[in-house]
Amino acid sequence: MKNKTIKVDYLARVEGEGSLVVNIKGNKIKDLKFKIFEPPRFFEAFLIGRHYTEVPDITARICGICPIAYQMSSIHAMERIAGIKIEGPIRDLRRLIYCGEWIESHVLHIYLLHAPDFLGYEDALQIAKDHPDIVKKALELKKIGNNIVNLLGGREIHPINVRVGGFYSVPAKSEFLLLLERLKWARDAALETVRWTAALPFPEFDFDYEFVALRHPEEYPFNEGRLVSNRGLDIDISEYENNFFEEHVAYSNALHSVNKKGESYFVGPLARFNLNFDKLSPLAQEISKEVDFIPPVTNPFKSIIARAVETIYACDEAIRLIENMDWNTKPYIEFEIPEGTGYGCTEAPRGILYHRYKVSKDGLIQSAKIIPPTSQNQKQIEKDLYEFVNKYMNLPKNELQWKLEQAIRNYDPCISCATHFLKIEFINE
Amino acid sequence: MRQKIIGIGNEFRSDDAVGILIARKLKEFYPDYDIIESDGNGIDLLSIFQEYDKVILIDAAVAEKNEDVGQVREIKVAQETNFSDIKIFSSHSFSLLEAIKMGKQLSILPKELILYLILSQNFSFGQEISEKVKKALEKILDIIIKNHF
Repeated sequence: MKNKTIKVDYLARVEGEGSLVVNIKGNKIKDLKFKIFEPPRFFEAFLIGRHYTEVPDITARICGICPIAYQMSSIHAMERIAGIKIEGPIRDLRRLIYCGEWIESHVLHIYLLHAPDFLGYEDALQIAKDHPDIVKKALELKKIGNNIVNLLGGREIHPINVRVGGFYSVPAKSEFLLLLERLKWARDAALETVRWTAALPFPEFDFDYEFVALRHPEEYPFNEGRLVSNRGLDIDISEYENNFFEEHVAYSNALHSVNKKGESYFVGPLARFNLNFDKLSPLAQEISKEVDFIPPVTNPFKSIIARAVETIYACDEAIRLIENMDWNTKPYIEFEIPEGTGYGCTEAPRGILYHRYKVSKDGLIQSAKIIPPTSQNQKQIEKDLYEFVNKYMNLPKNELQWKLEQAIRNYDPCISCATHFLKIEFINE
Repeated sequence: MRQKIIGIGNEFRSDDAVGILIARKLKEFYPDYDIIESDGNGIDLLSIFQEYDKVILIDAAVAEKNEDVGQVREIKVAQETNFSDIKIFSSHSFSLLEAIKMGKQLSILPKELILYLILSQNFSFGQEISEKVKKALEKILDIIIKNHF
């Protein structure tokens, strides 16, 4: 192949915050630099001096797609400092609201952001033109996730009902019972989604990844568990910063997360699926087997199937939780927070979201650390892009561009919004 | 007729907070009206479009020229509205603009969809709003109160 430079720029709000530059000389990659995510340093600084009770609502504003994840990681960190453990109905309600967020986020990514790549459409608008029924189904599915989050979260768009110790209030049982029928429809629609995604064309691209996710002895992980990997990692979440490090990257202000050996690792639906397959609901396991999607899956392009399987799980789990819920619970438990440091790590739709806070005896935040999944996947994405270019260097320019964008979206990074933003420029030296 | 007012933005992105702040002010004046804040996630807006006869959206937009900062654009969206020359600032995974285009495609736009765009410039992390945008905030409040309440 000739020499060429591939350059990616962000669109819109993230403009100027990210880039991908690939420089190929002869048949070798001369240089590949990827930067796609600005760590939430602003929020870490902004939180200092704030009261710990404000943290869930402030951090929820970091990401419009996964506010619940930010709330959950922060409240778990605070509850660790307080020395309280939430059990019973409040714990179940937290799992329920997380189900809603996974459904919302996964459906959006599967149908409107990632599927166009596989089907050869420029974007979801083009799908809507040819297959309005598919897009309408996706909207309906996503709405059920929204309904769960709105009911429990207390407000459209920005949930405000979540607090350290539980919820400010618990909605009436009748409101959730109304959701049950629609959730059963959603579960069926998600089954079809698994079959549909499994039939998509996948490039040959398998690697020996280190997958990292939470693992809980009794359930598929949302809020709790130990951090495990397929390479033997098994730690309490408070050990996170002794096992994972953020590297400064010379060419950008971004941070790349690495493991102890300085290597990249992989978080998100595919990691969870590979490490927790046995904890999925029977239906989710059954459909995975039906479409021959069985761990270990080492092709990152198949993350779209993992998202579909997790959507079934989230519907199944939401139905189970609603049917068995004790609705007469007190919405939160009383506690006092001493001075101390607390850790929270929960499974955001895109993978583990780590928080650490130091709180003073007055309940004020003295330091905050937030490491989102996109930040953790960043180095892995760069590595995938490198390997992809290496393997498929001879693809026509447009096709390579297309595949690189698709490869980035395997990880559903916080900018997967920026559809088709690659510019390829040939440079003849 | 079901009407909803949505203030869009990110209160931690300087001028981008303007839509949110307008929604909060309106809610203060008219607590019983259907007024919400939104981070601008297009898919959620699409769901809202389907359920209302009239939707009013207030958002910050990128000012191409410095002298345009603080200007207000009112756009009545119709099936034939061409959005190719409007640049709406968006961090959202599926933006307002995409939502409107998708809504047109699926024929699910509300009968009346009115957009108030405040031309702004500073979208960096922070909570300071430019003076010109602050003035625009008051102007839009007036316009909306006069025309839609």
